[in-house]
Amino acid sequence: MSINHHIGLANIGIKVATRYRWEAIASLIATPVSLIIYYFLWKSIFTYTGASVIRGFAFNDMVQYYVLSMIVGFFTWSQVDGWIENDIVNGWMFRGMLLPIGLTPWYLSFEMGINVYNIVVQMIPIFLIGIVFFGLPIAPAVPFLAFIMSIVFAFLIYFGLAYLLGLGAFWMKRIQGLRKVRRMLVAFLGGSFIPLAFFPQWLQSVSHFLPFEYVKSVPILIYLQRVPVIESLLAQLAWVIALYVIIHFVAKMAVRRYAGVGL
Amino acid sequence: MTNIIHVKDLKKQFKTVKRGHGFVAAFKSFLKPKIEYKQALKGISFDIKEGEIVGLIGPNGAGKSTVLKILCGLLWPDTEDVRVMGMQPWKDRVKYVKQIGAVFGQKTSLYWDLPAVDTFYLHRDLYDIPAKEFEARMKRLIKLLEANEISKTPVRDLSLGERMRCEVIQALLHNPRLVFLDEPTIGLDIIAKEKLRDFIVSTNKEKKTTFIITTHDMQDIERLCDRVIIINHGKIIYDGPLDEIRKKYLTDKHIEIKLGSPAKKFAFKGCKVLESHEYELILELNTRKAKVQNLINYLLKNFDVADIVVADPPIEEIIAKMYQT
Repeated sequence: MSINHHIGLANIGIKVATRYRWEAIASLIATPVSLIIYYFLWKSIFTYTGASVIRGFAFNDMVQYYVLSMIVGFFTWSQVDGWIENDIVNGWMFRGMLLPIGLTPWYLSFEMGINVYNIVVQMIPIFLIGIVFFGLPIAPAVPFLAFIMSIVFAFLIYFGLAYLLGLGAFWMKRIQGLRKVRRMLVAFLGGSFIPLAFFPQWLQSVSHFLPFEYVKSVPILIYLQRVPVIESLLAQLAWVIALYVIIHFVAKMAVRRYAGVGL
Repeated sequence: MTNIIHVKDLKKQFKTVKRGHGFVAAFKSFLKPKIEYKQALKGISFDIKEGEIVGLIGPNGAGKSTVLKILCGLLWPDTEDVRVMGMQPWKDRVKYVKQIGAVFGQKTSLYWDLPAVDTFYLHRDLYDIPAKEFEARMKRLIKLLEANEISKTPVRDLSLGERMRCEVIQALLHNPRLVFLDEPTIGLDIIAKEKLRDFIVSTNKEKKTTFIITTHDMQDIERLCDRVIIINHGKIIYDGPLDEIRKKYLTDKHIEIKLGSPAKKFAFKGCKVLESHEYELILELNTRKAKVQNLINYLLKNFDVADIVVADPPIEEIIAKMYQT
């Protein structure tokens, strides 16, 4: 696949992301609002318990954690399973199938376009807000670069998980219920609700062998320099490779399935 | 001319889930779906030469779309003997679809929320069309189909006819050798239909593009197609020029007679009275049972004939009869 295919599709992704002006503006406002809610929630928890450090997090660390969680969330995000379900249920899948591009790059490039939009209009502004208002420290060069690498891996893992579920729609057609489960799992085991340090030890150990924490928790902790960089990146890379090997085969089966029954 | 499409003994079976009506049936179907098999194609063979315009017609559910989907690479058939431009469409999909264009009139290939021109540029990138060539071609197509304003409006705001023009541009931008049009004139007004037909004919003449068209509009067939393939119940029941249908299947003539004085009783073997008024008769003659000449002689002898029109029944009627067999 040439870079032109990729850019062409990413372009479309950006255009789709901006097609409805009010939706774009509303989602811009929604994120800072949830940040403010988390801020006051933890403020009251710290005041109520009287503790200055909970599970290794001081109040300021906690705020920084959530600011970073938002920032990472803009990038490691995908609704590819929703797109696929939509295309299958509405019979639009033929459009992608008639174009000279593989199924996986078709969706991946499109989603990356949406993410480019998110970086520019959401991620960078929240970064600045975090630094100015919430005391987010600017990480030193090495962890910062590692953070960038880590969120790219995190995106590929998140996309891979969502895409695998989306491919399920080739057999099940409707996957709304499973999509909800997927979102909950990633939010809970990925560390969006609370840092994984709050989980019991056994769950934390199990979680190392699941892909979810590599989507969110790991990039955040890399930025905050709370985990070893090399190990974490390698673990992420291993998940990326594993997922895309599986995807390669499942996508082939899905296309075969599509053509077999004429969805 | 070489064959661009070769299809031999093509078969395809579908699996469907049958479900009755009502709550109990729905519950039963949920627990144990009742599966039935339907033979959509029962062995179809044809060859198409480069540069032909072929009409694929047949009643609903006859298997037209199945054939079209197989030829577009969207469906795997149960048999293997299909070659289009030397390839099996369903294998190596990416390489194959690069050389074809397709319009499915009932669905859209354009991004619904974006202006069509965005989809055009996406195609430039996906089909690796050189920028200069692309601009020239797009301009030409937009001009020919008068789609300048239309292509800059979000697709969801376009009328059916406007959208269809953009769909056709989309299908031809990469200069495919072979184009599939599935009901391209559906829902268009007469002028729009004519323009689209002219465009198809001129593209075919200039570029030797091969077109496969499915339609329910016989005008499309009469204006466009050198050849028709009629499919019914998953089999080809006719393959040849449209005129041949008339010769082969046309057993009836319609005869309209205007009379100078009121009609008497009419009786002629092999001839049916369709309508009878005081000064007018409309007859249908079965040409296998009697000759037109004999009927006219009989009429002139027994009636005060002011005018006679002998005509073929419209092609729709002939084909409708073929569908019923």
